[in-house]
Amino acid sequence: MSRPNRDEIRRALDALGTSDVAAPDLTALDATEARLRSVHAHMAASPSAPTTTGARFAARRAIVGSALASALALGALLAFAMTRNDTTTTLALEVTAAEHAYIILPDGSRIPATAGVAVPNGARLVVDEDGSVTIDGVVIGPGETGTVIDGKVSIDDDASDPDGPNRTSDETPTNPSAVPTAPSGSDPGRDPDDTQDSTPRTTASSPTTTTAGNPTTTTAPPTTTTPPTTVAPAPTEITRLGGGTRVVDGQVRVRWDPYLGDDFAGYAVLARYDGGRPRPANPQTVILARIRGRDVAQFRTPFVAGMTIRVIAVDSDRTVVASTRVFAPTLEPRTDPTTTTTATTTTTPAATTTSATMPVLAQSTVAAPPTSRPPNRNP
Amino acid sequence: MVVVDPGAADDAVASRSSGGTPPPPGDRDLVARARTDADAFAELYRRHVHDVHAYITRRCGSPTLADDITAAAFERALRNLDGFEWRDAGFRGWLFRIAGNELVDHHRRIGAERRRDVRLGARRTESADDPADLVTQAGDDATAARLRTALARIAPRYQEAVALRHLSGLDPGEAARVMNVSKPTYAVLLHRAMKALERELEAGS
Repeated sequence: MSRPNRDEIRRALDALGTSDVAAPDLTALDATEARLRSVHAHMAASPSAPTTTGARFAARRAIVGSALASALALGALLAFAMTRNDTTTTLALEVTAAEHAYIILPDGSRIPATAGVAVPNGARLVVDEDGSVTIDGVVIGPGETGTVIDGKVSIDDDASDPDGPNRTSDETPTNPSAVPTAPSGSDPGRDPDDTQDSTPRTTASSPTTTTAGNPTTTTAPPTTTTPPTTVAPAPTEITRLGGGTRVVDGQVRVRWDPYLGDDFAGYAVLARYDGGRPRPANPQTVILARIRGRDVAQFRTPFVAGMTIRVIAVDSDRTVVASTRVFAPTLEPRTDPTTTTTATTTTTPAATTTSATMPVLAQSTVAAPPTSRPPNRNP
Repeated sequence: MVVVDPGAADDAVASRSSGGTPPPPGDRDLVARARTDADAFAELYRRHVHDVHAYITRRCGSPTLADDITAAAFERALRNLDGFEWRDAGFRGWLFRIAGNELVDHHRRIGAERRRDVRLGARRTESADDPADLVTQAGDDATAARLRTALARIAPRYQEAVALRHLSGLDPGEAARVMNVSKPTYAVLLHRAMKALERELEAGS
């Protein structure tokens, strides 16, 4: 199976699926059964679960009601803390909305992520491939994880989606105990891009804060975060390219500083349409263009609300050697980065570039960007 | 539309084959009882543990890891039993799905820990920190090892689509029901998954 075709792969998979496997260890089976019985007894000792459908609905209503009450109470408490200008508050954050996600608490236990649930410091939010979580105005997208540290949510690097040889420079600590203490306002261990990267995520505001008496505190997106000037940046192996985007006539104009290294083999313009960080090996990432010319340092593509764009340079081994920040183009004036972009465009031109094609990076196709919704690359 | 109830089918088959003795209860009955009866859940466990274990062993290649993943999957199923609603895929399909998610979580967790160790300057004990490289390949033939490695590198949903079809013994209809998608949607998903797998194998060759 040196260069496998589809039929060979199918046959190999079927062979693997019908191969003999070792039976489970009988001792382990007995131990597991005993543990399951113990868990069952423990669950039975706690308030009994309703078994009828009606009772279950009633229980769910009660849970939702109590969650709402908790959310309101927490919101009021947060608002109170904010109006007192108490910057040292260490209250847990609250999930605003969640779907197909769970929370790993600091003690290792797991609970489902649902609206209204309080997430304490050190907890991790894990989102399934078809889910999302909104917490503290930050949206954690499908397949991503986030960690609550010092009352803030930081989005972790995607563990299941390695970024190739350059991924060490993009990593975010996933274990809060491993994160060095940093001054308030900085985000330890994160890529400098992350303030840009999270910009589109800050558009969702927590509804609980609207209960505050002071309406001026209703939204507090973390856009006031100052650059981590007092923390040494994470060691970076790739060169940072300057650049930027502008939206003109429904088109995003991306420009970047040319990469001058001798190992240059080409650029790739990456985009995502779910607000996440574009990475070469990520299935949600679309490669808008591959550009061989070193001096071709601009690109144009139709604007789609919520899109994020990043340009990388690769060497002949397809290793990422340089990268721009993650750009989140908006239709609004760039002076107000917190504004939610809601406008959409109806233009449908294909991505335009004057470049020749270059060797395949991580995906084998160059996809044209969608005009109204993200591409259905991972249903 | 006729909906086949696997639990009822179990009962029917059991009643035909058992002669005078009372038929063993179907999964559906056991699930209903298992909410309050530990013996019922233990029966479900004994009934399905071998299938789930074999499925995970084929996916990861390690019977030891499969022991852990299988145990975790059943415990997760027990803790979430109140939220389980009987669907076409039945309890067995639900177990396959939970076990698959546990395996993906495991790879994700281990990969994250290794990257953290690297960040902290800890000594690396293995040559790679790609979750796919954590797949145990001892005793495998080369083809199976390559398949597992490539499978662990594609998107979790694609992994699930391929594994349910080829490694669990489910037919396409059953696999679609387990994934809670229509059969045509599953066919598309599987097609894309195979394409991704093909790419991974090519990249690795």
